[in-house]
Amino acid sequence: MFQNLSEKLESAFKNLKGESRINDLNIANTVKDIRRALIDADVNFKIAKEFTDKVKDKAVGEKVINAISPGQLMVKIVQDELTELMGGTEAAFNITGNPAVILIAGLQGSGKTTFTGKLANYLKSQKGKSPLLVAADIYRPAAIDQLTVLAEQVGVDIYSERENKDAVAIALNAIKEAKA
Amino acid sequence: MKEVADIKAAVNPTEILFVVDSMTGQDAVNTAKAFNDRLDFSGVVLTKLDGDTRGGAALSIKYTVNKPIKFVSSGEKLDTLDVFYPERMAQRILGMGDITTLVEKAQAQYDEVQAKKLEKKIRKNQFDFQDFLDQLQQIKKMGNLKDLMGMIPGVGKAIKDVDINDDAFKGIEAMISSMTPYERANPDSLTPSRKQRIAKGSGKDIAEINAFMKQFEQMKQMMKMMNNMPMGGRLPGMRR
Repeated sequence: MFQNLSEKLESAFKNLKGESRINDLNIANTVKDIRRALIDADVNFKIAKEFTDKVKDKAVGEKVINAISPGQLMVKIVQDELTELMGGTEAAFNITGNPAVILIAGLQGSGKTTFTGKLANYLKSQKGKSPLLVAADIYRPAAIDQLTVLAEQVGVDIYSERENKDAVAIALNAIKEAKA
Repeated sequence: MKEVADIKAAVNPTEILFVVDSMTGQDAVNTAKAFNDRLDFSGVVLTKLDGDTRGGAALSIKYTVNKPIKFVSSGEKLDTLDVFYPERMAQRILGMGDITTLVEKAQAQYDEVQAKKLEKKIRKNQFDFQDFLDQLQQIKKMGNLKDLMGMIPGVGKAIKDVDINDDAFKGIEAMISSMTPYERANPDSLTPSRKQRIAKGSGKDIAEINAFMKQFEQMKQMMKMMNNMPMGGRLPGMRR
């Protein structure tokens, strides 16, 4: 994954090869290349600009100690900033409550049903939970079948009401069922 | 959209996950914004990440909606779901590999009792075809070979254009599967007529079977050498 982005970033760092320290002049090209790499990766221009400005601020004036090259230092700075951009530390996943209710939303074809199966598998095998899958898609009957098959594969229960066209009622009934 | 908002109001979920196809790039970010306005979700799930060569969605979603990415998902198989770690992802993007995830995947498959048994067998130079088959299957359970190798620092770049066939082990598996339990446990028992039968059973010819046997013997020799090394010569991976 992300091969294109990786390659472009890598070539951006090459510009700094052979430099003994980072200054405004020799960093300009690298920063430009990083920004271009991000925009090519379909990152919003505003975000890319802000990102490279931060990288530049951090890099200029950073003293390069003998052991590492400016290129390596740049990699480190970009790594820190990328981590920060994607959220810093991992986010907690809250599954407390009786029952813990997880609502999964998204556009058609984005992979909700498949993800639901995977999440059930994760909760069951790694967290020792016994999830109840609820089919609240009232427009696509096949989604219920798909979820039923997935539930069977994972070995968890599923709740569905094929005739009911009221998604809210299905959800409420399912919670009752889960508590029972 | 109204429905999902109604459901949210009715059931008061502990987590609301917004699922989005990462290949859609900026569109993914825009939909996320729209959903967040209506739903105020608690986390994002990026799906189909295996097909995303650019990474725009992964990089801009957090910034745009200020909600964390909680899971990433790739592929159809049920166990291809990963908790999202920004730091590891950054390392992967920069071609540094992701040893932490690799180790975790290995640990998930690691069976201490079995490993001990295997170590004993190797020490006594009794490693047989069945053990070999078990090992192959364990590696396969960890996932797609190319993905796994890409997690080793530096390797990802080197193999990006190489087509690694996940079926590479299939032939070997077929050969071992065509053996009787007795043959698997006694690699020396393979007489020409047994080999003939195995060849038929696995769709290989005798030369291929001989080549595999030779490789297997060499592997055993290597293990023997390591056993005879001073300091116990334990295999690094076998410790614990």
